[in-house]
Amino acid sequence: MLRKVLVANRGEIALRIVRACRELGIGSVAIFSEADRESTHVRVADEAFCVGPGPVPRSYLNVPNIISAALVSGCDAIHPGYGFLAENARFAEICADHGLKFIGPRPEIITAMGDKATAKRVMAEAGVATTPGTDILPSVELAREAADKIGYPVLLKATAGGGGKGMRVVERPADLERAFLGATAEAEASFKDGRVYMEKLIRDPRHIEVQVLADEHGEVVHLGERDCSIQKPSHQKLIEEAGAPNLTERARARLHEMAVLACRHVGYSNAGTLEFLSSGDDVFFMEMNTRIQVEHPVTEMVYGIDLVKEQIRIASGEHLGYTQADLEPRGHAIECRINAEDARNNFAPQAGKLGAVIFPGGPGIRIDTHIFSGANVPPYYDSMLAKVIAFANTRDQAIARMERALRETLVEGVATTTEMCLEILGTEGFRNGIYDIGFLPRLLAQRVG
Amino acid sequence: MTSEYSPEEDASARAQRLAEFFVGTPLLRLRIERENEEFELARSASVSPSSSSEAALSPDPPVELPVDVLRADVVGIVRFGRHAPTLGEEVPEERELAAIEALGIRTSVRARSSGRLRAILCEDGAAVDYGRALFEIERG
Repeated sequence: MLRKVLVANRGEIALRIVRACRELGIGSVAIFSEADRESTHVRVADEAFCVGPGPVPRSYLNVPNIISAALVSGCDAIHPGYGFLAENARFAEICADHGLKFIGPRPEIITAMGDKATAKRVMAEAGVATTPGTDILPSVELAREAADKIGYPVLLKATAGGGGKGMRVVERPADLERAFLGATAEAEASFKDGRVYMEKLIRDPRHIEVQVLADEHGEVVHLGERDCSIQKPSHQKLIEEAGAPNLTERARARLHEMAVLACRHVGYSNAGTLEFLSSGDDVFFMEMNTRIQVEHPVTEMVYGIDLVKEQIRIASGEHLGYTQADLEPRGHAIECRINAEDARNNFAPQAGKLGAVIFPGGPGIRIDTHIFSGANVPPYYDSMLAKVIAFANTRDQAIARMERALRETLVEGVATTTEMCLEILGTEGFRNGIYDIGFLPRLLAQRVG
Repeated sequence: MTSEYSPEEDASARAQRLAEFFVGTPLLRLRIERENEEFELARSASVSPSSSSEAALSPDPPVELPVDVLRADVVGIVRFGRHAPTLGEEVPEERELAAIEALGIRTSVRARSSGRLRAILCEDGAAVDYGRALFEIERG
């Protein structure tokens, strides 16, 4: 087993990883920026190192200081969490060069899966269904040819993208050039990689993803699917649930089968998520995230497995120790993201000092958060403050429990998405489990109208 | 603060003007950080500010000289070298007081101005993180 892990992240996921280390009897080292000096993960970890000032490039992406902190504190591994360096293959290589185990897949897998165009090609080779699309498009002219061949509407996507950045919907040929240039510029600004590719736009699909775990000895299992279709207009997820409601058994079986097939094909190891677009019985591979996901708790609740501990066990070289037949989901789980955002103002991020903070409790409620009364919300980072997770025997019970929990939630000092989540839970569409990725944008448009 | 910052102004003149400003305030500690420059002024909590009636009857309170706080700007291990700094010694500008070793690279920690080494806040061989105060130099 690993002895001491440096957690190269902040916020709730850093705290989540420190907790897993502690329960496994492993030492933990937190890193923090000057803006996060008072943060909970710094207080809870065994040791903590400041790695730079507030802005992300100078702290949470400061690779020399992070690696040095791991070495001087005697760590033998680094857990990257999500975001920041989690899908940076070069960082994984640097860890290995310094004798540090990167808790995630091998660098070459991160490279292959991180490049979305390459990932789609690899998946197609493995027999996984993918949306009709292209490889990287170096010019507007080639993009135009591709769009004519695929058929409008099409979607331009940044190959290094995420969170909706560098993504454009193109409805007709006249809009293509502008969209191409816009997507390229936005991708360059966001990821320092302006390359884009194109795929057929599937109207009103559901975003369904499958959690996988693979050890370093070739064992692969899936842990069911999550429906992450409740997304803001920026394509960022707001509510997720496990399992996906109203998914046909045929589609569900195909999703699970394809996820395992894909992992075996690429020789994947550690935790990962394959994201699919689903429409009826059709499912198309979209991308793979080679890390732990924000929404991993809903899977943990229904499968009773601690995914972060499993990541550490796998990175320690241990066997999974169970097979697919041993894994049986139980009940239903929903997660609502409490973000410091003004839902009435296009989800504008909020920062500042919090007033009173009270989170719910009671049966079936789990709170993953790093905030507390009087905490400071720095302007430099992701605006997610907390995840409220409700678990119950049935979906209806989980919704009722979540509504109760959100009504108990109090975060003073900044606008949050709590009310927005409550509004969504109360809609007929959500209650019936009939929604797609256009659900929230349509709801917001109706409200404005 | 009404004191205007001028990059052309000599650092010691700026420090003098800051000290004059500081005397007229009720502050116990004032720290200003700019790129490549850091001022810290402090006085004992027992010394009343000049605005109090008691202070008005007394001679001017003693004002400590401007202090340079040298901080680590990388995460690594502190190495003192052959001439380890000693408390109270006078150090010339640019004197290397220590180095921080990180990933095989040695980063010097040098006095930004001459003065008296007022505090040594690190130990040889200790791990330090970003921003950790290492030395305090009272500018002479």
